[in-house]
Amino acid sequence: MSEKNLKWRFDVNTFRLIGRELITDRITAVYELVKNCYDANATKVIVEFIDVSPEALNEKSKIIISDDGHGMSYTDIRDKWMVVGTASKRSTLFSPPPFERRYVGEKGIGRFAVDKLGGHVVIETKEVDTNQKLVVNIDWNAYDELSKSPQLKLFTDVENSYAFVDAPKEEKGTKLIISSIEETWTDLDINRLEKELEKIVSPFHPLNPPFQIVINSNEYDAYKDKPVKAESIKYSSLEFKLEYNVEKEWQETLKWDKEKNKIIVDRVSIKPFGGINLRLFYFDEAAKKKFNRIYKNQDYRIDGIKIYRDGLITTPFAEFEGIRDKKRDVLGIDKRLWSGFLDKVGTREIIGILDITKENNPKIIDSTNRQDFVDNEAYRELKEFVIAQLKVLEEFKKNERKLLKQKVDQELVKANIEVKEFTEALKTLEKNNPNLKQTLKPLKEQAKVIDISIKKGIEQQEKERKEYIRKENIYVSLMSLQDYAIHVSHAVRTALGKVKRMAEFFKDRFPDPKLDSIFKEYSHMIYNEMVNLNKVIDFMLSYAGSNIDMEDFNVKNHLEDLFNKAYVPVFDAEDIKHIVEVQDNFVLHANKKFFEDIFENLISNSIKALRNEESKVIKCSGFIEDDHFVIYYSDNGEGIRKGDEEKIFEMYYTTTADLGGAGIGLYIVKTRVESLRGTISVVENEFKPRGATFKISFPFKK
Amino acid sequence: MEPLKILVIHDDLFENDPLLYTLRERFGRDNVILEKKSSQGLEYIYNNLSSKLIVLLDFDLGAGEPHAPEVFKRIREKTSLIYVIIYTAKQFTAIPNEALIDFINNEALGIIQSTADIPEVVGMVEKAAHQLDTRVDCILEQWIAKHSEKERAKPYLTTKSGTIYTLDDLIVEIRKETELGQQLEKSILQLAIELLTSQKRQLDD
Repeated sequence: MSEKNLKWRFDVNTFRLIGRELITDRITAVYELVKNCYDANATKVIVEFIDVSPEALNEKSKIIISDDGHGMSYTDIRDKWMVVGTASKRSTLFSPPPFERRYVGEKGIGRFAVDKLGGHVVIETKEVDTNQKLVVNIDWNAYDELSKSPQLKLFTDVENSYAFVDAPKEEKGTKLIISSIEETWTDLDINRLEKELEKIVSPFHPLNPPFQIVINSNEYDAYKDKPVKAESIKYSSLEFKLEYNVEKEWQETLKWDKEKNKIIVDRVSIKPFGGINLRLFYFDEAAKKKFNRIYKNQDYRIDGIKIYRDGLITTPFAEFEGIRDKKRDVLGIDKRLWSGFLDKVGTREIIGILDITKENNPKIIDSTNRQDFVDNEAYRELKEFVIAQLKVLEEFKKNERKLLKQKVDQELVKANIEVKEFTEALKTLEKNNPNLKQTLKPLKEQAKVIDISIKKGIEQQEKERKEYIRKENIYVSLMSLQDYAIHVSHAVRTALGKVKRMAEFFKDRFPDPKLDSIFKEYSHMIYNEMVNLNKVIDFMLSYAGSNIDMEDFNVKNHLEDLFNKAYVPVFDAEDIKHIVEVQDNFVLHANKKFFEDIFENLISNSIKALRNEESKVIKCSGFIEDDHFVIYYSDNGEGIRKGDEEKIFEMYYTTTADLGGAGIGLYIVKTRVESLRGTISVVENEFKPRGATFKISFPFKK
Repeated sequence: MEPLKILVIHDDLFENDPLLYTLRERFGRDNVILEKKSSQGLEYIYNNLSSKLIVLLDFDLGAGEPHAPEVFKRIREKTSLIYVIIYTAKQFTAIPNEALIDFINNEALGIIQSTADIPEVVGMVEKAAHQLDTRVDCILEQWIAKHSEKERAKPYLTTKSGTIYTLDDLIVEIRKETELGQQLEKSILQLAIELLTSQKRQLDD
């Protein structure tokens, strides 16, 4: 045996960036390493925990991950394992024959996963038909020491010892023996890992060749050579199994039977994306509660639809994401929740297993970054197909709610009638037996009380229905607020960065007569930035407090009031002619102030756009078009540059910075329109060749 | 020698921004270019592939414009010799992991927050400038670019397998970091060291 040295080929910053930023969680770390085993054509992986509990953890504790895959050669280790972001996995999508597995490992992340688990690792790896195995010794702690030093920047200064050791010819595979374990593992941690590993392989479409994962612990009895197997999905309130038949050319799909008010499984011809098997499990409120109670301490969740190809997970792409809101929603299920969300079925109400195959779904193509499929027609149709299934579930959900409401209503009405009958009966009894009057008196009084409470109950029911609608409206405007929060934080940072740089300039350079004009420019800009920030904050505060109450108002009357009364002084001051033509009545249930914000900002924009015009016109017209109420707002100002039609709605996009334009106005307009469930766009200008026209459209409420 | 150019692709900076002002003081008034649209920034890069260029790149570049990962990819399709520094108001944690991986794999020189102090940003640009000055591939590329078009189109090098390369072909090989490009770089470095050491011997004599 001869011992030599190997060096890493990257620098400290890269190491830190990838290692600490990408692998934030121990589960992810093990998960990544197991995926690497899959990519190495392993059929079995053993994840072994030795003395990792809080009581037992010591310097001899270990995590061992071993597989029977193809192993690595010296050059593999040197040129791939020890180089960050190796391209080898990117140039091909599939592992070597005979398995030809679709790669699932992240590019070059595995080695950082090892670092997350422990400070020291020994890699034992052997390729088949060789006489020696390669043993590499890596001490991460040394790198940490190195990265603290201000002078040394490159990892190439640390040498890792390696040696070749004789081993039987037929032996193959890789074993990572990780020690200097950083964190303890409780049985709950290992359970979390197990639940995550379960998802790698489809529970319904066994892998061939197999990929078996075993967890072993010398401390926890539940994990004595325990194979990781997907648990069957239990406690759902509805369960569907959709299949297909290539010869007979049918694909099963869900359908809502309007007459019978129930979900049926229908057959349609095979879709362009090919036949698919889909298991859907729907959880209503009660089922969700039960599921969450039973799996309370386990990391097992109702988490939407996963796509498996030939039995192996493809999306959500075999990546563990601890924070569920950060999970990728590739099928776009939750994006739909924006409108009418109370009736929509989201990823937290369904578990779905969608099995596709290389053979039957060739048009569904893995994209090279392995984050999604190639966006082609077949994939779009597949997404639509999935959404169509959910829509059927939504019909069911709506119907359930309707039935519940009907039942409650009916019971209340029935109770009301019964009390009346009872009171009548008492009256008859009293009439026939006047001597019973005193005895019956408390009964009569009780009946009265019951009658009142039932009436109250009915009123309450009605109130709650209204409250429900009100809440739904508020939620919709709050959802746009969520979007807004993302924008505003970016905008504030940008503004602060700008102001900071200018202040820094003053601090370092003032006074300097040569720079006077610059100083002057900056002071104006700092002032303007502050004014803008103030506007942003004011807008944000408009969502705070109690002023997001909704009310019914007639858009026609309100627009006429705004243009013919409220804004008249402004129009007069700017010498602007205004025309307002609203044909139809339309009642909007919304926050009046939000609605006014739209026009206040549009008018303020128009004033700037009209500054160089001789005859200035602003026109606003409104009418019903199909099932929408449409408002056209136009001016004959300088117009919108071609290509900027989308951009102008972005926060901080402005073409009038010189006039104090902050690029917030049209952002507010768009946000407000959306919070009222409407849409806004730039259309062909009415006052051609000058001017701009906006089309705002509000849907009728169904 | 051709001066170093700093291209800033950023939709929130203005022409007289203190950062640009300071960069211009340091690298020359005409050598710092601001492009607010990334498509125009890319056009500038494509038209100046043989210039010594450092790009300060914002992450989000507005609707309809390619964002940093896309811009970066398109730069790297053409050349590996331009240094790119990501300069953004976006929080690092809000940058998707795959974008970070792509940045590292495509050798972004650095990522810096737009709230950082100006000297910090300028320092990073200077570091890039220094590396551009000393990287073998950059020097080689510049040396090749100095030749006339006619000279560059002439056969210049024949490999053992008989493939003939012009200087223009070699630029492509180097930019794309092909095996031949890398081999060429390596040989030149070895030659340089040999020359240096043999000269040293002469000096010692």
